[in-house]
Amino acid sequence: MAVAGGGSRSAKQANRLVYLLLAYPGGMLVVFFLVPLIMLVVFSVYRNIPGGGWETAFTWDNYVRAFERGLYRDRLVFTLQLSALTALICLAMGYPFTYYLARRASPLVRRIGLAATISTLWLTYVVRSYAWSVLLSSTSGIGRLLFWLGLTERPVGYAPGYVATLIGMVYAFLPFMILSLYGSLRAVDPSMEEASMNLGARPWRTFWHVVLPLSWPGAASGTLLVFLLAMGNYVVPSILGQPAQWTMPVIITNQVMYESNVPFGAAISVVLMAVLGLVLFAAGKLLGAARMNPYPGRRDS
Amino acid sequence: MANAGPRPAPSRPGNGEDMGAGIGPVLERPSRRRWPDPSLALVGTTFWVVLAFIVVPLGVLAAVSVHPGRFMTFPPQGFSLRWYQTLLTSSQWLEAIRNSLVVALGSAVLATSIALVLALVLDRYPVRFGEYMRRLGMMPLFLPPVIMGVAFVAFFYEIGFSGRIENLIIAHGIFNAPFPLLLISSGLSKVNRELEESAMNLGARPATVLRTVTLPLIRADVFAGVLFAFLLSLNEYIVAFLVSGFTVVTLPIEIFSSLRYSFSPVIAAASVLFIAGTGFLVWLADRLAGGLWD
Repeated sequence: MAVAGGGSRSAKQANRLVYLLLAYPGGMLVVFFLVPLIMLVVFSVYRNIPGGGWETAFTWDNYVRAFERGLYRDRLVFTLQLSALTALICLAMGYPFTYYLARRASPLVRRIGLAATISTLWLTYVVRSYAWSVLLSSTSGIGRLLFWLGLTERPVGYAPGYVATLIGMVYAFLPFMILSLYGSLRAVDPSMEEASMNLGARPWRTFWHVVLPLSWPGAASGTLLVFLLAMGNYVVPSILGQPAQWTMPVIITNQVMYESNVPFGAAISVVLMAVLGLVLFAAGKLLGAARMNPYPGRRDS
Repeated sequence: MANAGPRPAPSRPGNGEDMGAGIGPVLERPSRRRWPDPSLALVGTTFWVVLAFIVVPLGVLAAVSVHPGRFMTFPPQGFSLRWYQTLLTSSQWLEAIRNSLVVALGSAVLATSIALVLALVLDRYPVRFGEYMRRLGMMPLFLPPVIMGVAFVAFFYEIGFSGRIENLIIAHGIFNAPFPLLLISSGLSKVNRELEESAMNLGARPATVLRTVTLPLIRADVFAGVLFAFLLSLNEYIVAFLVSGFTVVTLPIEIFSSLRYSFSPVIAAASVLFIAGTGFLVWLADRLAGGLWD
């Protein structure tokens, strides 16, 4: 504002300039983001022509198919269950890890832990799932190790399958959980722990009544984040799962890419989006109370 | 004069360059003494086990990639770089690497240019339309990539322009814009307004102030934005796969489709190159942005 300054005439000129400048990002976002999202919804009521192509129409058939066929309901329920389980396992593994990382580890160990977490966070899901398909295959990795140790009769392969999918999902999203927790665990003031202990509380009691409540927002947002990411992931279940482990994104992609049924793919995308919206809304209501910052200075993650 | 702009916060804990400074000693003194050893040992063991869980799979990939045989085995029998040679001489893999780099670079420039203009304008003139645009620009962060991919497919089909590399650049440019937008906005909020005002008071025109004062101050954030968008695009699979419609093959797509047909160590070699490249870029971005995670 201070920079704008000057009389009303130059202010008006500046105003025009602002809209001129905003035309570039605004135009790009409207044309290449808002319009495609609208097209997604529009396509979901188009009619598919078997064998490729579609015709402009207004039909609810795609939605009827999505809800009538038990297959898609099953897949949706499976996706919700797998994502919820992934989020819980990530929390169970991530919390002690991050607690140690943020509050107990020496600076060097903390640096190593953070570097490992952050650099795997960005690594493509394709390579990370592939790593587990190697580790869980019968020719290399764990199955072979067990055979070599004489624990199994012959090398057993665990991928693809449910266990492999679950491990791959946890592996893919654990770094997001760790980074969500890290900020809030790091920000708990040590003097609070000290005060609690000076007042005679045992360490476990201190953890339970001081650290845990203060880190709760990070844990909640991390769990929600992992859940939402898992709901939308295509790569992990399609590399590490069999058709029984395919989640909604796999079904959607198969419709669009291999069945050439873009209208139906769009319709189940809209359904998935609506489910995610509901989850976000419910979580927002549920966490509403926790969002009140219990401790000033805490970093929002 | 009017100093309404946010000042740099006076030494927030845990925000500095030294990760351990400030809290470390205070934290460790009471805990070492009072925390019962068994439970701390349990937490410490869990830490190392989880760390191994994160690191070991990637180490195994590296080990597999130097195995000389046609099929992957672990532990590798021997050492050979032949799969790296195959990777870097096969026209198929080179094409995928080239496409990946073109898409990543193009989309990073696109994403950062959108973010930079939007953030700069909104920083000075918070008009309502711009705020809506900012929210729109942040939305890809909350949308599953597969849904964005299908939206782009529908859009590019409808305008009759599908299966081109430009589509990937646009899709990734929009999809990754939130990251430079966040980085540049936060960089701008830390700029000391008095510097810009002094330049104005000394008679510099707004464009000159922008070029000689503001942009140099946020240069690191802009570069970090470009790097992150580049990194994300390089690693992105599903949007690229959907938008490309089998015509443009990027490196993750090539790795994925090779997985369906073979189990050759070449894939492991490609993955190791990927891990090394990603690790380097993360390190670089972290250096540029001055410790993003602590």
